[in-house]
Amino acid sequence: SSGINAEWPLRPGVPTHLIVLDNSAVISESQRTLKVSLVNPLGVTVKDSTAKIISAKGSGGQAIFTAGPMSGGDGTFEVAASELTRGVFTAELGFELPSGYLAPDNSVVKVKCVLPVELKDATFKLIDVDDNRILLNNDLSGGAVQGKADLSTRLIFDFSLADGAEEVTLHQVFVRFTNTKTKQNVFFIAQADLKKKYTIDLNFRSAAAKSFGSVGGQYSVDLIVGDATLPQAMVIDVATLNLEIPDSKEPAADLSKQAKPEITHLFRQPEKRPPQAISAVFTGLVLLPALVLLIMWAKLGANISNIQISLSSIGFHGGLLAIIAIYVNFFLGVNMFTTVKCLAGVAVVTFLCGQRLLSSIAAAKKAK
Amino acid sequence: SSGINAEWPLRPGVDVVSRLYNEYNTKTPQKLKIIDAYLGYIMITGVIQFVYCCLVGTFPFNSFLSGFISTVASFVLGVCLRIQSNPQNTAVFKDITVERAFADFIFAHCVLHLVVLNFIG
Repeated sequence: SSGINAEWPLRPGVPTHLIVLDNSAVISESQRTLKVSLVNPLGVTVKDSTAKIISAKGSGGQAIFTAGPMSGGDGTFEVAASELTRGVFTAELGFELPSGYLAPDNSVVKVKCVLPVELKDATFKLIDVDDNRILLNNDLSGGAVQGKADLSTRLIFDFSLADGAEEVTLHQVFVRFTNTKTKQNVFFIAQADLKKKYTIDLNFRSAAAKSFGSVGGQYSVDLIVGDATLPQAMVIDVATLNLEIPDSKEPAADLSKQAKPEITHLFRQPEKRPPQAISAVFTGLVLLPALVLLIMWAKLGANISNIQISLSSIGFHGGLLAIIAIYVNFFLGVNMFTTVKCLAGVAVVTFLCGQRLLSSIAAAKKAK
Repeated sequence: SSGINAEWPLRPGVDVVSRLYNEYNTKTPQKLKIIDAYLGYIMITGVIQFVYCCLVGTFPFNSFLSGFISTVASFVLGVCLRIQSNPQNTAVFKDITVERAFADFIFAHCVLHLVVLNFIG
């Protein structure tokens, strides 16, 4: 791809983007081709471009597309899977773009190939452990079976999952027991051995209490198979089992889906306040000493007559009264910002007047 | 002043107090007596607030604290003013005139009351 156009004036390239069409990144028997389209930012396909598969390998090393050019042109390309192998593949695409276009940022596409599996070589066995006697041995070729089990029964369920001729192990393989009356589920995970054969081995003497909660009754047994490489999950009806347990318990009620008791919020109770009468009395009591102070000052002969009426004196005393007024206003609810703003101006005036006044008093005293 | 009362039986406690009172009355300048009256007023106000809090509890605590500490701080500032204006102390406070002490007193009170009113809630 050309990248930056080197002619003057410099023009950088148009970015392109790879789009997967028709959900074709999931390859299956019905959808065997990967269809992509190369577009510019406005969604218009890039004409005169070609694409090729550089590699399309899976984790096991197998390839789903052969390396080589993709068919199609004018921005829309497709390639057919060379053979259908189950798995997830990383396909790297290469492009030849006309001048002025940049290579797409997402030229690596994750492609998934999904194929169905079949249940093979299934055996469903019920054995009486005490008598060492086989109660039931069925290969499930005739569909679901009926069986009876009690505490001395052992259930062995073998099977394998086949993709064509080959056995595979998949991600989620469960056997589910559903109580037909209470609809409660018990799950067991099937383990595969080295030969990819799955087994469920259940001894009811221990499992009845541990897994089934000692709840007896009729259970339907299903095999559930799920995987990313399956087109859809498989649910196979395996058997209907009548589990007889002496002292069968009633299943515990499931309270998790019922409404919880309602919580009524209790707001914080306000703290107890004293009765207004007592508060009023004490307010008066607190203000009383101020009166006493005035009386004592008068008795001591504090002289107010000596106040000089000058500009600085008026400014100082007026400023102090103004500050007191601002503070009263603040107490009555004005916020701090307004208070400090008003205070700043008044404080400067008061300070200057006060300084002049007190200096003149000091000078007068010195002169005396 | 009478000095020690020589009558029998001796009453030392009462005599000390009466002598202190007489000396205070005669020897203390008028300005300091004015400040002392102010200090007494502040203290009584503080005591009344404290008694109220003991009676009815501390809710709202910030209001009680701000009121009480206002009286305590005012008392402290008044004591500072008294110390700095006492003519007997001029040797200690060489650079601080009485007027300067008074200006400091006023300024500190402005700041104190702003903070108290903010905290009183």
